[in-house]
Amino acid sequence: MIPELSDRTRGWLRFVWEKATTPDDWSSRGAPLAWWDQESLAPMCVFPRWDLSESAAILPVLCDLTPAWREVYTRIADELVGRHTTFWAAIDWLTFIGPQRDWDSAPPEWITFLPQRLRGRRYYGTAWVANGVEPWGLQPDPVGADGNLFFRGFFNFMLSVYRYVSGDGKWERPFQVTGYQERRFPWTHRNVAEFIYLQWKEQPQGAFCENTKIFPFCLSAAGLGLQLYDGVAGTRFHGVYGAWVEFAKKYYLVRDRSGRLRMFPIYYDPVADEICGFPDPFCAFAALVTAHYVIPQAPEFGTYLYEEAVRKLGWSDPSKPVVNALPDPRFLTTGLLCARELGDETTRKRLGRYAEDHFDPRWFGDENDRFGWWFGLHEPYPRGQQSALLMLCEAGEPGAWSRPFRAPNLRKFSEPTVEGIDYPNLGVRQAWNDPEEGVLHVGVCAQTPSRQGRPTAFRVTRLPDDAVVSIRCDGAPFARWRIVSGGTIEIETDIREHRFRIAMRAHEGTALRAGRGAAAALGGGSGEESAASAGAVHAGGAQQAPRPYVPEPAAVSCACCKPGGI
Amino acid sequence: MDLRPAKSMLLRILLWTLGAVMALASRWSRRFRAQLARDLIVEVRTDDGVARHFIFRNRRVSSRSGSASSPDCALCFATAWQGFRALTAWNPAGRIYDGLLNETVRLEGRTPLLPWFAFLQAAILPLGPRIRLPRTPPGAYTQPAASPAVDRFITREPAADELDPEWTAAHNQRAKLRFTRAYKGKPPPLF
Repeated sequence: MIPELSDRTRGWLRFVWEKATTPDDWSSRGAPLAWWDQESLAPMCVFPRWDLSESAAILPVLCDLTPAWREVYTRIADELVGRHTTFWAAIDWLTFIGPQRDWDSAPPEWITFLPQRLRGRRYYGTAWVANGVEPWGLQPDPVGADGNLFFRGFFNFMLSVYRYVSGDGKWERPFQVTGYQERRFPWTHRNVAEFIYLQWKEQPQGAFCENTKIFPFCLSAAGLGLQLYDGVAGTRFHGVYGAWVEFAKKYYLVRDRSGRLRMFPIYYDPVADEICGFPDPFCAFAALVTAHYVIPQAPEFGTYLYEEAVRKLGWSDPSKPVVNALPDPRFLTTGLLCARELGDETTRKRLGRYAEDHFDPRWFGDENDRFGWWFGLHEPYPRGQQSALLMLCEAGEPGAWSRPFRAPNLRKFSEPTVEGIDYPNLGVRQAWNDPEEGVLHVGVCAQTPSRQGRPTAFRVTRLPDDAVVSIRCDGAPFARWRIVSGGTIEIETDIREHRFRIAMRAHEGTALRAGRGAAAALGGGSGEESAASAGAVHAGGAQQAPRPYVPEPAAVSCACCKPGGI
Repeated sequence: MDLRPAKSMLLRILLWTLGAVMALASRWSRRFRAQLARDLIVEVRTDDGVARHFIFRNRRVSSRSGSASSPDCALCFATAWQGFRALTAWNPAGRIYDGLLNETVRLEGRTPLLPWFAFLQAAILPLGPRIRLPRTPPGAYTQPAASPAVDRFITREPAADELDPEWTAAHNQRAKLRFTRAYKGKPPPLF
């Protein structure tokens, strides 16, 4: 069966497109728009950059579903990465300077995230990065620091996502990252990845996030970024993660005599030699929250963390109810993602039902064309981080999450590609090359319902030079297409549900030739497909210049989606 | 012989003792007080008639028998004996979770407050599992990276103990953060 994007996935993509492509000011003089999540997973993740990385995570998976259509993922990834170079992305590192003076004013809920022995003592709260304290000194560059791994590691992950969906090396050229006192620091993607690798090689424990807390969660995301970078750039940086897994199994993982999980830390503080952890069975949460990052990199270890966690919590036991003891949906969502990924159908169904019943999935927007998870919260937008993670559960079959990391599809960059889709008016369900059949399958739809029926066009590029092309649309021969340049054709259609079957038959010794239908499109004709239809236009013949294509700006007309929010 | 009254009394005594010790700790222990930054009411009650609520106000603790009109969170057991056994167990969290699974325990209100309350109890009655690694991981990253290969990527400057006072934009933005406001008293997000 040819993969395609589900309705919900397309609806979520529509919302992320809108968030990413609506300009907002992430400098120190502005503020991210209200739809960027600054609430979830407090206190660690109440900064808008977490919404960037969570929103980016689904893009490689979607790209593997529609490998022949990537331009929207590319634009979204580019916008997310761009925001991650700004003041607001690093606001904690740039403004939580020195010791935390109000350490004893922590909300009670956040004291839970302190090591047991250090609660009530002068110990900085989780998320207070303490940039500037000894022995580290002030480190003005949020990327080039001993700590701040959560910034750097997730940033590299996003850069790698961009590279994977776009195929281009834009971020391999020097760019500037905003630092302390508005200073700018030049980096390239390669340098970011290399720094993570070299630092990790020197420190097998792993680098820390806040000064001084080592989070397996953040390290595993950093590892995932290295794994993806190796896949797209041909480097060999990811080996450090394998060494860390062995280190973690030996020193961070505590098992009982039968090998069952007893303890896994949320973080380890090497200066205090203390961990933040929870008593049984809640240690499962620390294992679970990391598991989906581990699975693509170290499947056996990731599977162990997942299986032990859901066993402890009773989620994998059909005889027990699904209890979500903490209101934060993240843990159950991660369990659902891992269950889907590993093909644990029993647990997937149980957790999926819980999510449907409790996490409030809803269509929204002035045309009900956006989708998100609302969690029963009376907020103007779906919670970004939580929704993004849940959408990973919706996209693809078992193995879909791991595939971009373990078996990256780089072939797509040299295969026929759909471009110039008038998104978000026209949406894409399916864009899949079948090299054995020599067919590109393209499924389009009215992503914005009110635009249904309007004329539109899109291109297919990177067609083999010697191909003879014939197209069927919705099962019937299709004539409304033309050659625009070598290897590129343009298809005229309307904004509506259509299924195109673009067949490319090799015809040795001649260049790309259109069928009679193309000639008919230029000058009128029946559009019937026949053996005689091949060869109407030869290379160097009547080729026209590409029609300039300018997509419409994203329509933002409903109150809840306008910049600035409600 | 009906032991329920005796079991109820055991739980009542336990909860009264807990309240009394917390009250003393909140007066005498700076470390204990440092964890009481918010005014809250936490309630423990049972379906068979035992109830006590713990009042946290101005970094002092007091407790009263009976239910509060609107506790911030509540831990509810089916029976007093179950509550007594859970709260005196080596690992109360495990007992409570088992109760959630068999629906003899309910959590109400802002449930993330309950781990905090449990940790306060554990601070006074240090029973239960110690949350520590069995051995110190080697090679601790406790000093700045020394090797040139890594050091060349890092920009270091002398230590600083506060945000540059002249960078007013940064001060303004930091003040808006959820993190900052939570430390100033605004309730943190539920999730």
